[in-house]
Amino acid sequence: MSFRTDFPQDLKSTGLTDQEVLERLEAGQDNNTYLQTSRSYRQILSENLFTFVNGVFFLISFVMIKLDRISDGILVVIVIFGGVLVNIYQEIWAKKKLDEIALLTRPTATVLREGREISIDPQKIVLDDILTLHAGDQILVDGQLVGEGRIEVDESLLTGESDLILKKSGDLIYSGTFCVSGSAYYQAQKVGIETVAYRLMSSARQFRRVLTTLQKEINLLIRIFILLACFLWILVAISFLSLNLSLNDVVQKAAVVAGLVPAGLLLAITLSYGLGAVRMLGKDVLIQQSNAVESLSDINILCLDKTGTLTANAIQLDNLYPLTIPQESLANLLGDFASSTKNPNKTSEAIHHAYQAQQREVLAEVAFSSARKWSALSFLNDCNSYYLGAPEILGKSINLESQVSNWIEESSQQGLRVLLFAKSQQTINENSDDLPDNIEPLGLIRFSDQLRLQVKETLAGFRQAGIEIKVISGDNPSTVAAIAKQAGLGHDLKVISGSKLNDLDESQFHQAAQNHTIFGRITPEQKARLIAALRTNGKHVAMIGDGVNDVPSLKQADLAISMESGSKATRSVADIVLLKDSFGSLPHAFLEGQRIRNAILDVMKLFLVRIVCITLLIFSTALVTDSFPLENKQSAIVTLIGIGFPTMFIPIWAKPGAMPNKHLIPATLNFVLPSSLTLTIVSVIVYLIFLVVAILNLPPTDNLSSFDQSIPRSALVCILIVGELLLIPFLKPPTTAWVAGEPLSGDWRYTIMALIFLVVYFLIVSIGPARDFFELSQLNSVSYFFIFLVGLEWAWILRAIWRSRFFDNFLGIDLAKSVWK
Amino acid sequence: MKNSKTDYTVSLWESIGIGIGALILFLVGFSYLAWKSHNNNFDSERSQAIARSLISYQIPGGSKGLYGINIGGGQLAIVSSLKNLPNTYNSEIKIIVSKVLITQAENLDPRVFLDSQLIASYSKTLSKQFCNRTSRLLIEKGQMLLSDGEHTSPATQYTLRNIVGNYQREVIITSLGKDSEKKGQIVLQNINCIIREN
Repeated sequence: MSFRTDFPQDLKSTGLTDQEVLERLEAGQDNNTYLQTSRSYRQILSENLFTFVNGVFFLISFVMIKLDRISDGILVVIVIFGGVLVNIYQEIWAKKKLDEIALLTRPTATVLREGREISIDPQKIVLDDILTLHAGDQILVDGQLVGEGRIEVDESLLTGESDLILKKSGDLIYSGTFCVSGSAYYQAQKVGIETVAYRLMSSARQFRRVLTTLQKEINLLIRIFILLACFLWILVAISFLSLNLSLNDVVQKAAVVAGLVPAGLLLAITLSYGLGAVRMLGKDVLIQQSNAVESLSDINILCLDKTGTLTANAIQLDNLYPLTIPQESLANLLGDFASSTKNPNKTSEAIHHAYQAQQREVLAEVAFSSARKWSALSFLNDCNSYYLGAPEILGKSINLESQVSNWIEESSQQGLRVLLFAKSQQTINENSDDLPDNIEPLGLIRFSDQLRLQVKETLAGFRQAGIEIKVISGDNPSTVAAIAKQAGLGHDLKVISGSKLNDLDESQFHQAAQNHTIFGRITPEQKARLIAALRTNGKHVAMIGDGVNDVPSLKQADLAISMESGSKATRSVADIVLLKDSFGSLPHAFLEGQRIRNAILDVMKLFLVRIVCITLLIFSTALVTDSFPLENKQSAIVTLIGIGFPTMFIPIWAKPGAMPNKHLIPATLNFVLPSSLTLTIVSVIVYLIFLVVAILNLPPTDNLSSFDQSIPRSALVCILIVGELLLIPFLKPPTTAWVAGEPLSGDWRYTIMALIFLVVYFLIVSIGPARDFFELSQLNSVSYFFIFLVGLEWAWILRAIWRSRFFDNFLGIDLAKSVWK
Repeated sequence: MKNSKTDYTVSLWESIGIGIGALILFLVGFSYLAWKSHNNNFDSERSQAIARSLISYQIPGGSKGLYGINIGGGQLAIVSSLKNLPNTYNSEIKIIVSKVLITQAENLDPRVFLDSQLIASYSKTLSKQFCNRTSRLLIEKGQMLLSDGEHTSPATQYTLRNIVGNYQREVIITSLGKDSEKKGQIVLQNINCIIREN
């Protein structure tokens, strides 16, 4: 707490009295609004729990429990809601991390009350409070400057423009912006939900969940299988009436049909996403939406804001151009100037960073302002005054050589900022904006926007991966283009400004969005329109932003990425937050996304083989033998040993790499179609052989319908598991001998895992209680050996089918590429 | 790493190998089923059990099962007396009993299991209660050619047939030798139908 007596005369007050504050608090005119720094728990829960697919599975488990098949019901609940819980945990973890970041960056307010300056929590600001503002302070509520102070405000988080705005008495200032230089008082005119920051942030938190292409296709597949299951359930219900089946039989069949809906696939996807988020932990990437990393690998277009995203919102000294003194002397004087100023700004910090010098005692100083465009300083024991400012202002009375003028011109064209450093023997008048007449130029200084670390490498990597980069900024188009060139986006950039975009009709706008790389002087609304236009054109668009002005466009994008240093609103709406503003982490995330996509694709292939096989088996056995191929638990062991457990390892061992086909279903056809059809045929043959065996084993007087169905079903389980496990080395061929449907992997882990699960299966059938639990019969060892040989023969046939491209030739399409020949 | 279409092909030898492998497995599977089926069909106990599931019977001097089959369309069993004539199937007394779906009756005619055709010199048709129904009983007498193709033996054959539910039931009693009618009469009188719910 500090005391002040030098209040501005025109303020006519010393701030609010305690009584006035109390009155306003009672009237609810305070700033006490709860602004969330991340998504709410309710939002996270609702987004993960209340989905169509979850609803269907919940219904299935509910029906099973109602039918007294509690273990089946619980199995469904565990498989589905286990995945949901993993998602929720990961997203809550991200929320907590964001809340921590917000807490660390939480500002305090300094208000004038009862003639004293006191520091309070921003929530305790009331209407009409007088607040102090110094360089570096965040503006906390909307208000009006009062008194004689002058400040420069960075409104880039609101407008996207990096230019500083000069504000003086009577000017309005807005919450969410920053005071960059000067000091002043302002009076709170809008607090709480009335402020600009609150309105923007509340709109930022509207529900937003964008599914990736992969997720959309998986959801489509799941819905198709749900429809198929519904169709089969209707048939099962009819069979209950027409065949006089017992209720238990009907429930068993209904449960097996429910198994056609690939519930485990959702868990495998969740695990892939979760693993991706965990892997990104050490890379300074915070995942807010579970699908964000995978989404990154799917993008075609990456849109960037300039200020704060491409650049660090800081400038760096690029070059010196000595005019009348040697470079070393010029550097020393500049160093003194920057080290001694009492009003540091980004320019002086850049000089200080380049040429550090000792602080000298200042006699007089004129602070820089955007309106004046210069600053001045005079030192003790130095007869000269030094001026730093725009050449067109300082150099008015100076006749610069054409060579120097050209250098300035060229620099401007490159988007670089040039300042003139000069001296005068006249003393500085601190209360005047007039320049002395006898200014002598000392040298020129060129500044460039400071690119974020690893921007060049990162963008080069994205371009190499075929991703188009677009820079959309509120800044001047030529400045944006210059920065883009610095960032290595090439020299032949197509640039368009917001004003030109305004003149275009809808189709021209879409065309412009598609064709241009640099978009300057773009309003937040235009940014959002541009993103929407790109998405309408079928592109998967990612947007990286930092300011509140980026929020609408981030919400439009397929993938929203924010900088940690960005506004709370931006972090809140983002799918990915780059911690420590680590631009260089993006390539890691991109590769991780590819890894996730590849893992999901592999998992999907195995699941599809199982589903197609079981579906065809249901129809085949009904057609040939008037029976149902599997019991619920037998179906469960086929899923668990053949697919479920092995696919848990695939996300762990998956490797990054571009997918040959972006769409899931075509990408799986080449693997799924031959393997599922042939495995079905082989399985039906094995089933029939053991069905005959079971009939032959019947006691002579027994009715045929009373044969032991567990024998053919156990044989079917065995061939399905052997077949599914044999597919794993085909999926990830350890040697060229297994290369047929998929490229060589050289990774033996998958094959070893398949062997281990084969052993696990044989352990289950050889251990009585385990075998009984899964309702399996123990076949004799010759039978198991025979089935295993059948499996090997099938694998050999399948390899020949893939290698001879039998299905491709038969169907007349290239299944690997899924394009018509 | 690339798995182009030309990188891997299927050689003729590989195709032959695949074909031979599949053929071997098919033959193994088929042979096993055939062997198991043969063993079942010619198992004496199984045959008698099938016969006893259809009828109760008594053959003087004891009986043995010769053949039994339990397939989708029905059941069939052949039992005979213990004392055989020199030729394998030509027992003194043989009972062929069958229960066949009416729709399958034409496909599974128990008469095909007779060793040879009876050359009847006498026949008459009577009615007899069988399976709680009045059934047609055909009695034929004559000579039967033994399976050696050279010798004949006096024979009497009783054929009893009716329909119960969806099934046609048939019992053929063949008695050989000098007292064939008398021995056959004893067996016929002791035959009772067994009807089970399933």
